[in-house]
Amino acid sequence: MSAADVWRRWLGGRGRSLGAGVLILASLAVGRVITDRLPDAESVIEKPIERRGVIGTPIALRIGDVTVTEVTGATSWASVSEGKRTQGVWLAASIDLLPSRRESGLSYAAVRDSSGHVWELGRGESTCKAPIAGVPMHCQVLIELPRRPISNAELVLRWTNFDDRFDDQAVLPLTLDQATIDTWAGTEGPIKVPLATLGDS
Amino acid sequence: MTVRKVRAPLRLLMLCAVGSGEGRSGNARGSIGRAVVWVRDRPLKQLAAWLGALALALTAPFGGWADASHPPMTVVTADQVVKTGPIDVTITRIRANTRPGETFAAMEDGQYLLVFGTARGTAKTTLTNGELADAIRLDGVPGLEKSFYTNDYLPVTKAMSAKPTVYAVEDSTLMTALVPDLTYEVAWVWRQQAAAPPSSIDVQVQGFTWRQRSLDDYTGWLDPTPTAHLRLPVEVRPPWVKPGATPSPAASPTPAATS
Repeated sequence: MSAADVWRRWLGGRGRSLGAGVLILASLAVGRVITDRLPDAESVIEKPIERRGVIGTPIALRIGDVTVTEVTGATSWASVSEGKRTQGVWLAASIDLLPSRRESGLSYAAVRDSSGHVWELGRGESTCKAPIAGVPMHCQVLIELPRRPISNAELVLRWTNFDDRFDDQAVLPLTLDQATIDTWAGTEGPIKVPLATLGDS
Repeated sequence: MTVRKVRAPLRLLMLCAVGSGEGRSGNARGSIGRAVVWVRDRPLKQLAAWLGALALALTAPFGGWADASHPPMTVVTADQVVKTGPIDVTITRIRANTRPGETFAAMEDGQYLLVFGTARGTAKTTLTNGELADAIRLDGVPGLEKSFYTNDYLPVTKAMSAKPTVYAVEDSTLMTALVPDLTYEVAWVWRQQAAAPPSSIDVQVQGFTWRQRSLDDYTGWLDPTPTAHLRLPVEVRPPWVKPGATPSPAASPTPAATS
């Protein structure tokens, strides 16, 4: 029996195992290449739905109607329990919230621009929490911003910052040009941040 | 495995090593042939296990299972900007105080160690996952608390595991997040259980890697690793005393001693 026959017999005995192993590894490698090349569908599908509006008009979210009534700014704010200063500016948005369900409120507030910058609550505050379904609430959000104009700025308000998948959020355009920022930077404040109030008044 | 199968490889090894004197080349060829036949006759699982064991054994000259060595750290100076990835950090001074300010509980059995510096967010989005606290660590300091008010004080060998609490110096409020494009004067604060603070401390600045975590597909600034360090002296300051209170002989009446 020649050496080739011996090796052929050896491979024949173990060929199935080796072949199966090679096929499995090849399939895994090809599958990995395909999934790496294809775009991620989940991040597109799960993105929160944006409901657009302007200051003064109600925006209907699944957690209730959100109306931003006023946007101001200064370099400091003070609530009943604490106060904060900044080297930048504080944006303060006054909000009327009419909750449509028990689990409601606005724990996520951010300013974003067209370059991908996002300024979230951070050291800021939201008093739009623990509302009562059907009872109007008047509250505020405060966001810290740098002392420079922000082009194509938008205010984003959402129920929670923990999980935004399949949720909806209110988006409003903001004017944060040099004049506005300079005015806010020159206002020492402090912006008064009382507790949220309930009712129609 | 039978006795015969155990003896067979030993016999083969001996034949390969020693040979049989005269006609050695012929015997060597026969030995190699018998060794090949013997290996060929092994079950596939056994061959795979031996290959795996051989690969593991070959790791020994290359460090084996020891941790990979970190790249050497850069030595920086006070006020020098260190880029960590999402944050540009400078370190300016270190203070020790048994009560830095009104919002701090007085320490009877130790002191607060405050590393002052600046932090500027260079990432596009707000940093909310503790990156600011992970940017700084103290090395070689005994008795550091693992994190605020846990009363878990660490030995000197685990000092790098102690996580600071970060405050904004301007208004003494907690810095839990860092927004883009703003520079803050901050203090990284640890509690230390020791009779006296060290005379100087080695402060390490940690850099981050932007990657996706395979466990939960979270993408962010991960793997804090020391990239730069500096040694600064520690200045002991008098504790904060409530205005109007009678100062103790050892304390100065100056309030808000957070600088």
